[in-house]
Amino acid sequence: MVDQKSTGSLGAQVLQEGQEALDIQTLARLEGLDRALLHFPEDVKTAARVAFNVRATLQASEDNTTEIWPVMQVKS
Amino acid sequence: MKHWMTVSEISRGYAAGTLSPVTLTEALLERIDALDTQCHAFIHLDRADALATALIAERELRAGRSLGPLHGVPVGIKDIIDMAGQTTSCHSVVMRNHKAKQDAPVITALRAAGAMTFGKLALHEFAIGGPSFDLPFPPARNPWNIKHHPGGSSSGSGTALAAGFLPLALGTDTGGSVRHPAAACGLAGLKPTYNLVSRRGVYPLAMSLDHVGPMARTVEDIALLLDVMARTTSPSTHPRPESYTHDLKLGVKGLRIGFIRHFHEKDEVADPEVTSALDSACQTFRSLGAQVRDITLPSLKTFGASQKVILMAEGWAVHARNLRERPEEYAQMSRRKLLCGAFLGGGDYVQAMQHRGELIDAVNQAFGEVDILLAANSFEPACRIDDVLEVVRTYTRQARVPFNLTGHPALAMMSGLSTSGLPLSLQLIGKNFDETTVLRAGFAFEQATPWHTMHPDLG
Repeated sequence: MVDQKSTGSLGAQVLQEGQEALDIQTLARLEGLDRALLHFPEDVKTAARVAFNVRATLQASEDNTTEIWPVMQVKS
Repeated sequence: MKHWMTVSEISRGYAAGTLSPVTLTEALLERIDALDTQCHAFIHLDRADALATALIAERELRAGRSLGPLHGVPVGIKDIIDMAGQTTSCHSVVMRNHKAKQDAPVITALRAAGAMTFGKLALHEFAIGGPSFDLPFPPARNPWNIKHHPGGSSSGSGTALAAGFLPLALGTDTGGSVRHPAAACGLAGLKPTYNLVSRRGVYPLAMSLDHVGPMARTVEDIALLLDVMARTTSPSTHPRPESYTHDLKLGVKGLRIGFIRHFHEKDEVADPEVTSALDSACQTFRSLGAQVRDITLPSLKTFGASQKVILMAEGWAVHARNLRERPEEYAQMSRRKLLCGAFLGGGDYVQAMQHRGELIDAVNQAFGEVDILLAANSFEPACRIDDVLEVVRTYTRQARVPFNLTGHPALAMMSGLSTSGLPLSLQLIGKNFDETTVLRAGFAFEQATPWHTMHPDLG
């Protein structure tokens, strides 16, 4: 007997992954990565997922006016 | 045996006339010929140049014109550093036509000090992608067990030193690439304070995280090499002592050491042998008169997130054009890692750089309470080089990254030997531009332990 609940969530997951793959392709094309997409689609997908995961763990500064480091220096 | 000699032993041999640059060079070349077919430390061995330079050094030394402790001493160069007229391959097909027009300042400084170069050493492609088997050169292997990796990205530098091919080598360190091979190969390796050593003429991975650092088999040799490397920047803006060797023998009595235990016990759990070696190191420092106490910093994960975003963004900026036009020329591992930055936004980079300042403040605050920090290096000994999943899993299990982000000097040194016969390592971290204290503590530990006298048996 098919578990409709798990099939439903599996379907949602497939849809979500399909959407993510499309999003990654769009972003990659915007970055000019057509050649990489053509020859190494899995590498592009893996890189994007790693970047999204890292971004998700980035702890933003509580004060959004904080200077970046290294700070700007004038050149003499 | 000539191949395990330290710089001071070599200098003494030259002064006494029991050794000459030519006989040393010949002995090392013979060893490289015999063993590098299994170790793969060298990308390019320049035998003729090594012998010619040795002959010049010999004449000068015999005439009493010594240029200092490195005169006639061989130094290995990671092939990401420009040497005039030679290809800087970065261990990559992408760079096959990149012939350097001039020496990087760090090479100029070495030549002015009379050091001899033997050619170029292997690395992980562009200091990020390795160990990889889909490149024009084979990956370097660990002399302690050639089935295992030697760490990276300064893999050839680590291999050459541990195999007894050279007494000194240059590495670069963006996320631990000097200290990782130092850990895997049982060596000393220093990531100096950010900007203490010029990065000009060194192919960038991530400019605000990149450091050029000395690697050797002893702390004293690190100090001697750093003396020369630090001449590449101005002492007025980058403070340094007359020599990093002067205070080496002062000991650690009264020195306050902060032990960052949570990095390897809470943030991640290190191999028990690594933990045990760190606990022993604390005992050794206490027995030498230092005060050791636990200290807390932000978590490894917190440091890691900012460092990764910065590395990805800066690395993408360097490689974007090549990755768009000829991605097939990269090894798969480098391609995957360097493409990440394409999927981050400018805001991510700025937020990581804002957070970086706060993390630097946190480490500087710790230095209000202690003189140096003691931390784990790699969380386990080097795994097999052909075990891709284990390489990926273990390469990120380390406590090196925080100090690329903050810029503080960090010395890696051997802290033990695993039951599998592979080196274990620790790190000593200092205040900015206080390499002197870090090296002093490292020297004291080295003299109190047997690790630096151990070498792999390559037959």
